[in-house]
Amino acid sequence: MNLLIKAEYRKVFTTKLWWALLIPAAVLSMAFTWGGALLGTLGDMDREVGGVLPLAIPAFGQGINFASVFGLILGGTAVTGEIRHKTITTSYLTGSTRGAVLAAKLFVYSTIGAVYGVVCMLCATLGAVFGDNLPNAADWFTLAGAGVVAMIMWTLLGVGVGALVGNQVGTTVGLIVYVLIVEPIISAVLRGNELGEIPPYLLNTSGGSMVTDLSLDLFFENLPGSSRRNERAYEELREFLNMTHSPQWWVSALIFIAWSVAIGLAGWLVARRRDIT
Amino acid sequence: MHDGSGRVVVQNLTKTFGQVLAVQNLSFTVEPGSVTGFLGPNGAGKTTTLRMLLGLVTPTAGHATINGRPFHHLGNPARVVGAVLEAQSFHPNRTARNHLRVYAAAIGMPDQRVEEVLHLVGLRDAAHRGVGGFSMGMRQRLALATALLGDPQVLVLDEPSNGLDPEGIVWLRTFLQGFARQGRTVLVSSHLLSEVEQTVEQVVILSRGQTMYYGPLDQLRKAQQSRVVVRPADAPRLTTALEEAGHTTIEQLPEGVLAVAGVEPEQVGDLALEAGVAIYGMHTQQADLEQIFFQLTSGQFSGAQLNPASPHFQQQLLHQQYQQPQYQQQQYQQQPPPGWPQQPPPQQPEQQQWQRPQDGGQQ
Ligand SMILES: Nc1ncnc2c1ncn2[C@@H]1O[C@H](COP(=O)(O)OP(=O)(O)OP(=O)(O)O)[C@@H](O)[C@H]1O
Ligand SMILES: [Mg+2]
Repeated sequence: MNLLIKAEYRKVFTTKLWWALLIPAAVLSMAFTWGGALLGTLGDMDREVGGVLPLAIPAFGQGINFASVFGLILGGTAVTGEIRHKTITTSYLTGSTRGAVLAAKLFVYSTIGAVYGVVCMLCATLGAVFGDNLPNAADWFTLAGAGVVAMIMWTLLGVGVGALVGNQVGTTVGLIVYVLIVEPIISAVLRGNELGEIPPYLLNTSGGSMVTDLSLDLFFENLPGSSRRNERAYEELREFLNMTHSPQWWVSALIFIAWSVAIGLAGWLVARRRDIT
Repeated sequence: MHDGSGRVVVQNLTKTFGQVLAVQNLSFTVEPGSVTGFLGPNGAGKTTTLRMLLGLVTPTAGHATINGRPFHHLGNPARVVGAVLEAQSFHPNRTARNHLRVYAAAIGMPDQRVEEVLHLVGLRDAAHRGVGGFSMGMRQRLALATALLGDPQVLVLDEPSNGLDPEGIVWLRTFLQGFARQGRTVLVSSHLLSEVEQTVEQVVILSRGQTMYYGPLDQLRKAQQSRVVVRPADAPRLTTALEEAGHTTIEQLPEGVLAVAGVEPEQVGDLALEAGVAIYGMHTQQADLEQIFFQLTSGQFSGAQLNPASPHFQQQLLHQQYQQPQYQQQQYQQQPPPGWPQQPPPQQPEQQQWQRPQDGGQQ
């Protein structure tokens, strides 16, 4: 197993994809917090709310959600890239079992997801520092921690979907269509039928909310001024974002982790048996 | 773990892809110490069989073992079996050296081994280049280098000389023979008997997913007989004379020409002189192995498992082996194997196309 893990790292680091995807993810993370930080320090806002608006926090959350797309894409290529270039044959021929080869892949890509997460969080922090609006450090790092977990899970999810689908274009297009079209439609239909409690359990919603919810919670905690006024604004905002039924951020996190692990496992089971001709 | 015998056993292997019956109840054994050829025309099921042997395709029925164990029960399989497969490829942006380093890591070989195999296949000078820019022959060499990484006991190669230049082909032949002489096992597939004729001692001949012949190549050679083609002035009289002398396998060819099997031209001449029949022309005709291979695989025997020792087999060969090449070719085209588009071209053109004057890797 250790041998296969080492081989898998060599596979990743001997091609360019890993940094070609990491750069835009890191740049996005930094751009979001920097922009949020600058927006929060605009003079007019200061006067209105009686202090610096910690806008860097929700911007951070959004940045994580966008950046994790790159982890997802990287994960999606783990199995499909090998199928596309037909190196999967050699990989299976040099592993003790096919299950072991795939398990090594799931593990290695999860750790690369962690690297992506850490790099993106560092860039996001730098963005807030450059924008001169780094809020409460403890809160900030809680959010960064959640961001790393989200990035790992999105990457793992990508590996699982790629292993299930087996085709690189199919995986990428399938994921985009699902996230942008299928799930929003399902959610809208469910909400329209008084079943608003269900959408938070959906894949993309749970993955997005775990970060967004936390960032909103922390944003309102860090708002200057009266807490009662903030509370009303908080409720209104959640309603506006269709998040009335959203559970606590960590519940969303657990739901999303369950999704990623389940799909990773399913991919492992399916790819193990697929004929390589 | 495994018995270390170097023996490859295929037992009642069957594989269907949807409607397509790719391999049908296939059985054979490959022993160490010699090169075994795995022969059959396009679509015969060679690749499918080898992939089942290597655990890449799950058989519909039957099983295959190497050293007494299925591939994925060998522990670290690449240390026992090395394989060069047809549809094997490389990441175009990874260098040859990095490609080998990935798989050296996977099987626990030191990076030093990478340099050794690069040297062995003559790719050292191209090792730093992306495989995307490699020629067909260079890829084939890299695939062989990958197969040799684990210093395996058994080598399985699917059409390994595809794309190799003449020098590369000779090198590969010598290499495989040397490899087998060390007591190791080599199973090499090809759709051309002539390509492996000088290398292999044993053959498994496949047609439409079934074994047509399985045994020593020499035995197949012995089954062939020469015949004498003679143009006498009076064919019926010569026929009678020949038959009286006990030569009964006589074929009437157009324009009074006779083809007599199992005789020497001297005997025919003497008999003709005795019978007082003038002879206008006579020559000996030899059927070559390639023709036998053609007949075995052209589909007409499908369903019949032939044992070379049986008289039935001898007889069929006798009847079939003198057919003219044009006839064979036509027949082949009329009955393309399943899944093959019409008009399979003869094999030569693609070979020529891939022939390169020198190993393209040397700069
Ligand atoms: N994945 C697949 N799906 C459907 N049919 C397949 C598949 N793989 C192989 N076949 C069919 O199985 C049969 C045997 O194919 P195979 O590739 O094993 O032949 P082969 O002897 O290797 O031929 P060649 O000399 O062309 O390499 C063919 O009819 C082929 O069309
Ligand atoms: Mg083939």
